[in-house]
Amino acid sequence: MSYDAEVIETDADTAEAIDIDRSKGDFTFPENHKFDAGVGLNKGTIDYICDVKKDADWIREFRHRALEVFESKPMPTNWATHDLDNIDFDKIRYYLSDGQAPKRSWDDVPPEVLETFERLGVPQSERAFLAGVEAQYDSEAAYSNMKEGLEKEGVIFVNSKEGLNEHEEIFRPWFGKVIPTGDNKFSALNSAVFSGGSFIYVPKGVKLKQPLQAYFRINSENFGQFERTLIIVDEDAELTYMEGCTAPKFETATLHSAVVEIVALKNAKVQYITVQNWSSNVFNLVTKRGMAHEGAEIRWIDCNIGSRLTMKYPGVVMKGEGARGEVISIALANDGQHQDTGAKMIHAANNTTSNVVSKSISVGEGRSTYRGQVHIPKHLKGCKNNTECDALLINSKSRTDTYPAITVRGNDHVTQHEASVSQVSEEMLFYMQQRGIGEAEAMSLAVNGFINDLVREFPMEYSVELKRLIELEMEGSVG
Amino acid sequence: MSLLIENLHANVDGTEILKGLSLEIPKGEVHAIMGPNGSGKSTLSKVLAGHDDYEVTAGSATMDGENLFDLEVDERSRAGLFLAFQYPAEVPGVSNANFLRAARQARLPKGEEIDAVKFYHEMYEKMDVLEMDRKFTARAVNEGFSGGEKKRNEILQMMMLAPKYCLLDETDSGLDIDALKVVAKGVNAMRSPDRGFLVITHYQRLLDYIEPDYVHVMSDGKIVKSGDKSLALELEENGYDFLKEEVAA
Amino acid sequence: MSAVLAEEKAQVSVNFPDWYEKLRSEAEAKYAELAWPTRKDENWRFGSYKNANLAEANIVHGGEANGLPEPALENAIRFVFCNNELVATEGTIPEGVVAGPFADILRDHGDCIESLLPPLQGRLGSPKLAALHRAKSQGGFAINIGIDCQQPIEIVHLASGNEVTTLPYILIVGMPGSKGIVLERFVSANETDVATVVSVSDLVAMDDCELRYLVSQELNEKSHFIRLADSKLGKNTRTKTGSIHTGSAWAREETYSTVDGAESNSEILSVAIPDTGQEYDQRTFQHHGAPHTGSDLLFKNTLFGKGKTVFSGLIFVDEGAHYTDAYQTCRNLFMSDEAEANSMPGLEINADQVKCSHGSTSSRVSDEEIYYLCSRGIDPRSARRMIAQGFSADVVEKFEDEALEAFALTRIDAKFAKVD
Repeated sequence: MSYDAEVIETDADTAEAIDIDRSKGDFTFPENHKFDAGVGLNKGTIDYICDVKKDADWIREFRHRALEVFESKPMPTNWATHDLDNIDFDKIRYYLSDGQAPKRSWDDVPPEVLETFERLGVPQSERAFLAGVEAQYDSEAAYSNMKEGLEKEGVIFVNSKEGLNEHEEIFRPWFGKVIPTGDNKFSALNSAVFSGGSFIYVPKGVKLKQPLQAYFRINSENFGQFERTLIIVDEDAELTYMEGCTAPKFETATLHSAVVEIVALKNAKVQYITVQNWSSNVFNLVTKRGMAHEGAEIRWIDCNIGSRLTMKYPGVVMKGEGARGEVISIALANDGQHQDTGAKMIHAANNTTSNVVSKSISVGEGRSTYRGQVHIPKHLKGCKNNTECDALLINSKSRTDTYPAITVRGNDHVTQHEASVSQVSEEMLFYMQQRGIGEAEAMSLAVNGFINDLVREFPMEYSVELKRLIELEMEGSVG
Repeated sequence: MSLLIENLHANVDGTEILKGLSLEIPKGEVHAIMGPNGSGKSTLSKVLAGHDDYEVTAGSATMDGENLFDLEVDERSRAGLFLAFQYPAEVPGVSNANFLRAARQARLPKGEEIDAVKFYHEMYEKMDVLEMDRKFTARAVNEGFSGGEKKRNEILQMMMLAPKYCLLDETDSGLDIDALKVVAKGVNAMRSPDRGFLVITHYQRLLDYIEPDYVHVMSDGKIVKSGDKSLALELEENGYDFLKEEVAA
Repeated sequence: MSAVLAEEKAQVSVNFPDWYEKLRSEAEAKYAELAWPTRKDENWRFGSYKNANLAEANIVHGGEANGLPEPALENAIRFVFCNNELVATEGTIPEGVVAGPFADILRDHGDCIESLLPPLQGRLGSPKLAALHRAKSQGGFAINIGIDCQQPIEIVHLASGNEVTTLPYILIVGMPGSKGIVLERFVSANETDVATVVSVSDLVAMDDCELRYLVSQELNEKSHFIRLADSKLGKNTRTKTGSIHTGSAWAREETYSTVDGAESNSEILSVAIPDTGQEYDQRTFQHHGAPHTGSDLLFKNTLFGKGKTVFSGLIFVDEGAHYTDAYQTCRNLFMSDEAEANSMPGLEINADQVKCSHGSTSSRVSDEEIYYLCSRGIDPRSARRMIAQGFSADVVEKFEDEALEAFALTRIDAKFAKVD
């Protein structure tokens, strides 16, 4: 019985078993790229990308400035893991595309790309429960479609290139405003070489009943994916957006570095759901932040499974009175993985409320880290923050860290932070096994129980998938 | 056909707790084990169920001829051994219904799915016997349960899993008289010629409601005296002290 | 009570044993090599790192005491230092206890100290200061408790002189099976002189010990205070260590607690009450290096005016230190709209079967509580104060020692009387 270290010693078979869930995304097709910016990053790379994308001059300038910022900024290894130093920016390919415009019908998508997304189940789910889908293959969207009717209501759902070129008046005023280029080294990198991603505008009062969804797929080795997403939800409008990410296993590390900005205008509601299931050699370094105006609500619901290193701290700047921000996060770190996730809650107006609930599971030699920041500056009234982070350790080689930082000025606020670390106790396992439940299943029941209250926050289709992913992860983790 | 324990020796952390215990529980019979605190009663149930903390150093235990010690904890359970715990563990976030379903599902051949409608119907029927509220199914296993609720839950699981042999470890502890009657009702409803019971208790009280066929007295890791139901009454009257004298003599 | 002034002033330059001189010159080299803290230093996040730069410090040894403060504890064995130089002692040291100026103890019990002396401190942001301290500190105090010592030991450090820096040191050793109570106070000779006190303390609690060690920082509100405190616990040992910060303009305290022996428990307590012009910056580290160990940290800050606090704590459980029970709580009570509290409660867990949690809260006294007291005839201002005092007293009670508790409460009351 039990989950002693020696029982779980990971031989090659076990390691493979642990990675089993990635098999769904673990396949590649031959590369067939008309445009390839080559290896490494310099001014020439930026100009190449601009030329291919026919970027406007202001975007070209924006990119070049960003490259300077990226080069001038040191790696944040004074607080973050030194594993970052293993990213070799000179070996990464920054732009790959076949030069085709995104297709509106799956029938027009090139066969091998279509097959990729079919194997991931994308076309089916679009028909089943989505209002629209954008599917990105390496640097650019291969497919982009939205249900009829939404367009008539004025909803815009396009990739970054279309967004900036064809709807400049809507997107340019907010572009790079929630997350400035210099926010961190990786937001600067994204600003220099971004391509693909979703630009969404939901007009006043329009409430989308079904979610919009994007799929991000890395198909080429040594490739860096740098999608850029900007979501503007106008007054009294509502949107749920979901993204799913996969990549096959490559020999060498791959980089995914996205920037996601959300603007929720007065009384708008935005829910951004991520289920990330990267293969275990992807560096996933993502900056996500939303700005909530008066009475608006932004919720980040984030599930991180897979990747070699994920660094992601979704944030909400509560800029208007009564705004609300929330981060719900589940992270599962298996052998060789480090989930470094958290939340940033910046209170910038009276009576703003933020809530962070984070649950992490460390399996085998996996490591999970929570970093949080809560900031309540001077002269505000009635701000509230609640933070809970709970960690579950599955065996004695796993590791968990928690590093929150809470700054409060003034006496009219309430903040509360609680964190705990626990494990699936031997008594609990014995009890379940005495009822005839096998060890792996008992473990997966316990883990699902641990995150049960958070899984409910995901839409039905995703919560079932999540449960399955966790079961698969746990199968590999017991002897 | 019986649960047969022969010359069983077992250690915890190097200390011998069971010192040559022998006992046979044929199907259709209810046996009670009584004994003072520290006599090894609870150890016996944990050893039979296969808890990791206990090391079997000698002796055997078979269930209908099958060696228990060859089986993992969950395999023993599926083979028909049930332990109603004195202190049932909490399983946060896992509902009672899902837990029982998983336990029932584990008993089905691979590829066969449980019939959810039938399952719920059966569960509600048994909950009614135990006077349990329907809301109970959605609560997490044993989490925040009162002592009485935990014990009822143990009996519900026992009824749902229909084992061949049931070990009841101090099931009466922490129960008021009304709860005790309900629990006993559940146990008595399960008495059958195809099922054996081992009731472990410190007090005679439980045996007023679950009438045993045989009573054994355990002391210092062994059965030191066996008799019929009247032995329990004798113990209630005279305590365990006279036993010590008898053993010493 | 009469205080006996030392007959002769100690020599300014002290002769240390060779092995210790070697440590000092190593420290000197390390000091030269290390850099002062910068804004980028994670251990100084939210903190006033510039205050730690003592490159220009005027380090002094000895000074004018101008009278001695009243004893804090009745019946205590008392040592008074002025700028780290012993100026008075009081009481008789019982047999089984060795206590006195560090240099003397080094001279007489050098071998014992050599084997016990913990490594250089400063792991929580101030390695350069720790090196400076060892290289330049000329004295300090050492106590070795070998018995169940009922009598408390009181050490007073007076800071005297303007624009001076002093480097007091204390080494507390609890021999196996011993019990002891130590109170260490930091007091200014007057309300005007600007002093910087850099204090280092090493506590070594061997097997089966029970030690209580309280620090009271009551410097004048112009002074700076830095304290590097290290404790190391053997097996089956209980320590209660804590501090009360009511004085100084700026105080930085780095507390590193190592629990290396099974069945041992380290309790770490703090009460801080900053007002306008005061900033308290506390960094803690609860290090569990063996299975079946415990630690419990409770810090309570009551913030008045423009007072500021920084709390950064980490529970660190080593690989293999299973069955650790470690808790960490920091609570901030806001008494004004202009105060600022920063909390960084952290966990790093590398073992299994651990029970660890941390909590951090910030709030003001609730209206309901005030209303309840008012309904019993207490005016709102007193009600608020009573609740705040109760908030701090709750920590003090955990010392479970009447004399220390009584003294701590007088410090808290005195501070409240001043700010209200």
